[in-house]
Order: sequence, then C-alpha cells, then structure tokens
Amino acid sequence: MGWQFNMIVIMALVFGGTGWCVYKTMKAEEKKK
Amino acid sequence: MAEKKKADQWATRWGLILSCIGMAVGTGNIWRFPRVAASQGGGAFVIALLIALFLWGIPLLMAEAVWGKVSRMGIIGSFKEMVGRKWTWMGTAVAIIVLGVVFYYSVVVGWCIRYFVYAITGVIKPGLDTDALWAAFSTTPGAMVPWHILATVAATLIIFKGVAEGLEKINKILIPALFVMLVILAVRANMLPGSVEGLRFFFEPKWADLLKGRVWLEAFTQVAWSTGAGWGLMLTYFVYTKKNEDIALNSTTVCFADTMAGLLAGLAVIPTIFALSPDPQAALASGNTGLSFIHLTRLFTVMPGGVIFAAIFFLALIFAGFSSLLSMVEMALRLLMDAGWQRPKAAIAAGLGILVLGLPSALSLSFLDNQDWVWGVGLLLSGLIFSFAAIKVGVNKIWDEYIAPDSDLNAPWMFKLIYLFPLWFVIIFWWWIAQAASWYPDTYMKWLPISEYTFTVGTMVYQWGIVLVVALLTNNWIANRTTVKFEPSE
Repeated sequence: MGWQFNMIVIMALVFGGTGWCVYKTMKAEEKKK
Repeated sequence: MAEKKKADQWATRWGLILSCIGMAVGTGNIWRFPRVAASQGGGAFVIALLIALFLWGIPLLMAEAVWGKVSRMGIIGSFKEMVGRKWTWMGTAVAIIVLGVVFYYSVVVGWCIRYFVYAITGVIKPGLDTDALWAAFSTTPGAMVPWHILATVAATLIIFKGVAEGLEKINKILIPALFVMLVILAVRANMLPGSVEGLRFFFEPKWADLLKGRVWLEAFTQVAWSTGAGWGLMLTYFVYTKKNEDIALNSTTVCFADTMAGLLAGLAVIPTIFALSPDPQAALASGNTGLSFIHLTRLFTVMPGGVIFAAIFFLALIFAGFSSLLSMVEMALRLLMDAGWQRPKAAIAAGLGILVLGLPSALSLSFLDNQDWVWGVGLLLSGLIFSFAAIKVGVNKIWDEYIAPDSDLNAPWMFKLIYLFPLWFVIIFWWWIAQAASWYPDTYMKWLPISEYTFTVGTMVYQWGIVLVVALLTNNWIANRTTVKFEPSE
C-alpha cells in the first residue's frame, strides 16, 4: 500500500463521514417541509 | 391582546450546526492537528483519532446537548436540573475550568488578529526576521493588550445582538469562509515544487504506529481539546434549540466537520513546510505558536504570492479562533442570564470580565502558558464530570427519553460508549500527570512562582483544588441564584 492509497482512504473516511452527516441532515430537513 | 415575543433562539438547524462547528473548530485545528498528526504516524493517527471521536467526543457532546436542551439552562443550572440541587457544584467546577480557558483564549485570538494586520500592512515580507518579530510582540509589556481588547470587544458586540441576529448570522459567514480559505491554502500548498514530500510524510502508511500507546494518547487528547467535548459550550448552544432538535446526528456532524478542518489544515501546512523549509522536522517540532508565527510566517516571506497567502492563513486562524471565542463568551453570558440578568447587561458584564481577567495572560506569556496547561488538562476533568453525571442520571434513560425521540441517527451504542469514558480518562489523565512529573523530577509539586513552575503537577493540583473548594462551598448559594430558564417558542 503506497502513501497515495493511504491518503485516499483517510480522506474518504473523513470527508465521506462529514458528507454523509450533511446528507442525512438535508434529507431530514426536506422531510420536515 | 399583545403578541407574545418570539424567543431569541436558532432560526435554522444549519445555523445551529455551523455555530457548533465554529465552537469546535479553533486555532488548534490549524496549528496543532497538522503538527501532532505528522509526528504521530500521519494516517495511523487519523484512524486513531476517528476511533477516539466515537469513544470520547461524540458521547460527551451528546450528553452536553441533552443537558442544554432538556434543562434550558447554562452549565451550572443544567447540572442542578439534571443531576440534582446538591450536585450544582459539578456545574460550577466545569464553568470555572472553562472560564479559565476563556480568559486567555481572547489573547490567543488577539495574536492572530495582530499577525493578520502584519500581513496586510506589508510587515511580512522577504528578509523579515520572524523570530525577532514574535519575540518583540510576545515579550514587550503591553503589546498584546490592544489585540486582546479588540478580540473581546468584537465578540461581546456580536453576543450582545443575540442568538439568531448575532451568533447565527456571523457563524453562517465565518464557517463556510473558513473552509473555503483552508481549501485555497491546501491547493496553493500542493502546487509548490517539493510539496509532494510533505504529502508522502503525512500519509506514508505507518500502521505499526497504531500499536504505539503514544499515538492513541495523542489522538484522544486531540479529540478532547479539538471537539470541545466536555467544555459546556455545545451545552450552551443547545439551550437555544428548537424542541425537536436532533442531538445524535448534530453531534456526529460537528465531530466529523472538526476533523475535516484539521485534515484540510494538515494538507495546507505540511506540504508548505516540506516545500519551503530547510528543516521541516524542526518546524514541526517548534510548538503551536512557533509553527504558525515563526516558521510558517518565514515561509510566507519566500513563497511566491506569500503576502496574500499569509493574510489568508491568519484570517483563517482568526475565523477559527473567533468562532470558538463567541461560544465561550456566550457560555459566560448564559451563566448570568440563568441568574436573572437580561442579555444586554449580561453581555457587557461577561465582556468586561473576560477583558479584565484576560489581562494577566495578555501581559505575561508564561502566565498564559500556565493557564493553558492548567485548564487545558483540567478540561479532561470536566469531561469526567459530564460522564459521571450522565451515568448517574442513567445512560439508557437519557437515550430513550431525550435523544432517540428526535434523532434520525438510531445508534444508541454511540451514546452508550460513555460508560467507557472513565477508563479513557484514567489512562489519558495519568499520562499527562506522569509527563509533567518527568519534566520537574524534584520539584513537580511546586507551583510558585508561576514563571518558574509553569507546567508542574503542583500548579494544576493546587489551582484545581481551589476551584473544587470554591464550587463545593458555594453550592447552595449558587443553586439558589441559578433559577431562570430559557423558554423556546418552537
């Protein structure tokens, strides 16, 4: 495993985790409308 | 019939989330995360940190949010309401520990404002002796005072305007702008020749580092200090939420966004250092202020377009620090409002208090370092107090009655991990105490003069002891005066 792969995994976890939370929040807000 | 006045609460959920992210993302995300991550295994550290988020940050933030949303009172009143009147001292202890941080944090934000002004007025230019600049600023008596006053007055004016008109409006600008600036800095850094060495250093797989205790200790410490879990700031912001606000999802969002800010800062800072610094390791080992105000400032003087990027870097530091400072001033203000003060009067009193009690840190760097040490480690204690209180009230009860009904994140295990908190606390806390003892092998229990015994065990134990005694002795007196609840209109 090279550092590039490692970088992609770390960024996917952190950015993906944040993105998933934002997506869940957007869906919840849409449902309320 | 007169129309009932609408309560001053968060107008939108995004306003609350951005303000909570602003509370969590501080200067530490920019000048501490990259440094610690790079020196503790890079990617392995981030994995350890993500695990620490679930074991420390998220459960504590959830507990805080419950305290604020259910009690509708600040730190002290919420402990009285949630745990019982005789436990009010716990809230008082947490409040004093956090106020200990507030009193020097405005000085730190003041530094960032000063360096931003240096950048836009052309002081940061080729040939600048950045060591001398920092030494002159940090050791000249009174040099830091005007910037401390500026930061405190600005924060007080915003708090004065209220939650929706002040905090929410400003954080809706500060936080998106902060992330945009971090992206600009990261893109610029990675366009510098040689920057790839920084990325390689940051992300080189060093999975064996996950077996090192130090990596885990640093990851837990970073989470404790960076997410603001256990500080009572999230608690304060949740006093003003709507009745059906989602605690679990919002807390998780805050923790991930906080980590994202740190990672973006790492992508900006580490490649810049490796591309431009003759000795990257020395820069990374130079501490928070050394890295930002000496090494990075020097690198901006040799970077093409460095003046612009220096201004963006210090503006990002201001936005990160200022959005955290706002939550701290609001925390202080809420304590007064719980005692029946109106917002304008409470804002002025909180601002003046921070201004005056921040002066010793603005006048003496060693005093500031001492306070950073005592209350920084003390924040671990306030986390323990929250976990103890949550376990006492009942973890299952809190989830079932206060979190689950309004949550889109049906993951009770995330909150129930708070049962393990005391275990992590003992390990991390013992590590810090042992470290401090090793720095002063023969005098580790001494604490005066502070300039000589800045980082001893004694200075922590004595100052915490004073806080504990004051909190216990004033339990009933404070409980009697903390009586006013915020009333949400929706």
